[in-house]
Amino acid sequence: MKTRSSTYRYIALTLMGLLFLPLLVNHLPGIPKAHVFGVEEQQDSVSGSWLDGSAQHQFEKKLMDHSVSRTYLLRFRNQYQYTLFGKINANNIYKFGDYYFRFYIPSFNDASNFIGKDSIEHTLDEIVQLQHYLGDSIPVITIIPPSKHHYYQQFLPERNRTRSKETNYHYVLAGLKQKQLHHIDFNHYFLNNRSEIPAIFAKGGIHWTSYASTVAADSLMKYISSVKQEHYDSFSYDTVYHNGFNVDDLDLELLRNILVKPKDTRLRDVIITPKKGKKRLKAVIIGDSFFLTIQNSGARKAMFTDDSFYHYYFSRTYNSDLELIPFDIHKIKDAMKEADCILLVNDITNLQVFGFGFPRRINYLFR
Amino acid sequence: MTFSSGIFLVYFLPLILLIYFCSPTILRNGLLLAGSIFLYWWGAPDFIWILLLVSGINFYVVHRIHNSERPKFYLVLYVTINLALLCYYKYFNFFIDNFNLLLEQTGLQQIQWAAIALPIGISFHTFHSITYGVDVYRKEAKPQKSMFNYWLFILFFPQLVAGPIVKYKKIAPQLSHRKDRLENVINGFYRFSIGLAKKVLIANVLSEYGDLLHNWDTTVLQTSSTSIAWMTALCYTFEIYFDFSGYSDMAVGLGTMFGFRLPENFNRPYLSKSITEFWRRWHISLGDFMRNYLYIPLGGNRVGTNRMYLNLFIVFTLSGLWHGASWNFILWGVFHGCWLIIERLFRLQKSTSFLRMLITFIIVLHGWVLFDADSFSEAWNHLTAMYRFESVEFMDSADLFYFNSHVFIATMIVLLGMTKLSRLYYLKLTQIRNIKTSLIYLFIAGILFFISLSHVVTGSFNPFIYFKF
Repeated sequence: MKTRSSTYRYIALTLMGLLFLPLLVNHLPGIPKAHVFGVEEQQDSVSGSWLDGSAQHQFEKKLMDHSVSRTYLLRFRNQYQYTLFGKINANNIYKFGDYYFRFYIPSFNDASNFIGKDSIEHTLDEIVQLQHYLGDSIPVITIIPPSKHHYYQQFLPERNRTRSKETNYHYVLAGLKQKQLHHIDFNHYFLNNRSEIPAIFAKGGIHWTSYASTVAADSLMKYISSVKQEHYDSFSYDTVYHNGFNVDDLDLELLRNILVKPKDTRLRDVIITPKKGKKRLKAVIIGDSFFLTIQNSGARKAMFTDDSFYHYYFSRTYNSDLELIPFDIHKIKDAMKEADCILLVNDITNLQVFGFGFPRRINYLFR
Repeated sequence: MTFSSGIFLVYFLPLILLIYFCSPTILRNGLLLAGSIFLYWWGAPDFIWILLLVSGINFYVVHRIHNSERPKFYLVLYVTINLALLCYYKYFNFFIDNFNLLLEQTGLQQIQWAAIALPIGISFHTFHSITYGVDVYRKEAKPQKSMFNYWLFILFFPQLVAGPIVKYKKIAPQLSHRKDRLENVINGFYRFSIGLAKKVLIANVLSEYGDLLHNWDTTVLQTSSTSIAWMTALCYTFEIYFDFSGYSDMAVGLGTMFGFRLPENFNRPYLSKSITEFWRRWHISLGDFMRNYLYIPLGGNRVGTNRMYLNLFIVFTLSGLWHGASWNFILWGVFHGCWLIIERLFRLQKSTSFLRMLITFIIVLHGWVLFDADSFSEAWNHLTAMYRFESVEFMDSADLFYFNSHVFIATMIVLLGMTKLSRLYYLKLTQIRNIKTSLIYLFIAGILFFISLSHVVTGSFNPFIYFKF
C-alpha cells in the first residue's frame, strides 16, 4: 500500500515537472528559437499602468508573443490541423491541384486596374517613336512575365477573377502586335504549358521561380538571336528537383508554419553554366522586380555584359553586382545608342504603369 | 487571466502548484489567497479593492448576525449591502437606459450618466457572500474565525469568477482541515484537461459557426435558410454547454489539485426528460442556490398552488435577470419559468422517454436562441428563420462552406458525448483504481492538455461565456 502511494507521488511529481516544460523551454539556454514566418519579433515595452490593467495586458502579450514554446506550439497546431483536416492557418492561401499557393494581393482584379485604351496607345506610340530613333539594329523588346493572377485564376475567389477584356494586358498585347513591336508574352507561354512544366511561381512570393525565369532568359536569348540574326547562347542550364526552397522559391512550408517540411517535387532548381568565349549582350534593361529573379539565378551575368545596367522602375540604377549607382538619364540615353538591345520587363500587374515613363522621357531627350 | 489563457497555463498554474506543495501546511491557505488576489488583480486591478473591502465588512456583519440578539436585522442589512453592490454594478446601466427610454417617450430630458463597468465575478461573489450570511443565520455553520480563511472562501480563484456556487457550510471544514496529497494533482489535472479540451477544442470550434448570425446584418438574417438557422441554434446550444461545463470541470479540477471538493455543476442536462429535470442537471449549483436561498424562503411548495406557480415564476425571472441586465435574459428566464408551470399544470410526463427528451431539448434550444440574441429583433429573426422552410435543402453550398470539417468533428464528439456509454467511461476514468490506469488517464490528459495549449497560446483572448454574468 505504501509502495502504491509513493508511486502515485512520483507520478504526480513527474506531472508537475512536465507542466513546467513550456515555461522552461522559454528560458533554458541552447534551445533554438523557431521563428514564426510573418510575425515580427518586436521587443514591446510595458508602458501602461499597473493600476488600470493596461500594463498587465501588455506584459502578458509580451511574455507570450516572445515565448519560444509559443512558436513550437503554434507549429504543432498548424501541423495537426493541416494533416488531419487540410486546414491552413494563413491568409490568402488557395489550392492548385495537390499543392497550395498564396495570392499576395487579396483584392486584385485585372479589370479594376485598367488605365484606359488611350493611355496604353500613347505609351505604345512612344515605343514606336523610340524604335524609330534607335533604328532596327537596336531592338526595343517588351517582355511580359507570367502573372500569378492569370496562372491561378480559376483557383482564386470570384473577386479576383477577370472575365472582361477591358484590361491592360489585353490592350498592351494587341497594341504590340498591331504596331509590330518586338515583344515576348511569357504569360501566354506558361499558361498554355501549365500542365506540362513544373510550377513556375514561388508558392508564397510574388515572383516567378528561378526555374521559370531561367527558361524565360533562355527563350529571350533565342528570340534576340533571331531578331538580330546573330547567335547568342552564352549559357546553358540544368534543372534539379528539390523539395525545399531557396530565397526566390519561398515555399509554403514557411507560410504554413508547420513542423514537418511537406514533400513537393513540383519545384525545380536551376544550375546555370556560362559558356566560355561566347558573346554576351550589351543591353539597357528597364524593368520591375521580376528581373531580379533573372539576376539572382545567375542568368544575368551569363547573358549580359558587365556594363549592362538595370534601371529598376526607371528610377534607380543597379550594376551587374546589384549595387546601386546614380541614376543618370543622359548616360542611359548614350548607353542605348551603343546597346545590342533595349529590354522593357513589365509584369501584368505593373501594366498600370506601363513603360514606367521610360519611352516618353527618353524620346524627349532624342528630340 | 482566464484558465484558458497562455499565461495561466504556462506560468501561473505550474508555479502555484510548485510553491503550494513546497510550503508548510500552515502557509498554504495564505498562499492560495495571495494567488487568488494576484489573479483577480491581474485581470481587474480596479475592483480587487472593492471586493476586499466589502468582504471585510461582510466578515464583521456576519459575526454580528451570530452574536447579536437581533440576528434578523443584521441579516437584512447584510443581504441589502451585497444586493445593493450587485444592483449598482450590474443593473444600474440597465435601469437608467430603460428609464431614459421612458423619458424619451414622454418627451422629458434624459439623465446624463457615465456607464459603470461590471467587476468580473461580482454575481458569484454576491452569491457566495449570501450563502455565508444565511448559513450562519440558520445556524448551519459557524462564522469563520479567521479573516484570511473567509477571504479565501470568497476569493478562491477556481470558483471566484464563474462558480460553481459553493455553499459556505460545505466548504468551511475544507478551509481548515483538508487532505493535501500529491495524488490529488493527478485527479485534478485529469479533470482540468478534460474541461480545457471541452472549452478549446469543442466550444470554440462550435462558436465559429454559432456566432455566424451575430456577424451578419439584418438583411442576411431575414433571408437565411432554415437549415442555417437551425444549425446555428444547435451549435450555440452545444457551445454554451461545453463552454460552461468545460469551465466548471476546470474549476473542480483546480480545486481538487489543492485538496478542495467543489460541487458539480452539470449532469448531462440535454438528456433531461422535462424542464424541471433540466434545471436539476444544468448549472446545478445555481439551481441549488435559487431553491435554498430564494424559492424556499418564498414559501416553496408548502404554499397554495397559485402561490407556488408565482414563486416559480419569480425565481426564474430573477434567474434570467441574474444572467445579465438585458431584456432577452429576462425573457429567457420567463420562458423557462412558464414551461415549468405548464409542465406542472398539465402533468406532461406521460409520453415515452425519448419523446420527452426530444421535446425538452427543443424547448431548451429555443430558450438558447433568446439567450444568445443581442436584441429582441435578432431573436425574432432567428426564430422566424427556423420556421420559414423556404430552403428545402438540408444544407446549401453556403451552409457547407461554413460547416467545415472542424465543426463536423466537434458535432460528432458532442453526439458521442451524449450517450450513456460515454458517461460510464467518463466515470471510470475519473475514479483512478490502479497505477496502470492512472498512467493511461494521465497520458490522455497530457495529450488533451498539449493540444489545447497549442490552441490557447496561439489564439486571441477568448473568455468563457459565463464570465460576463
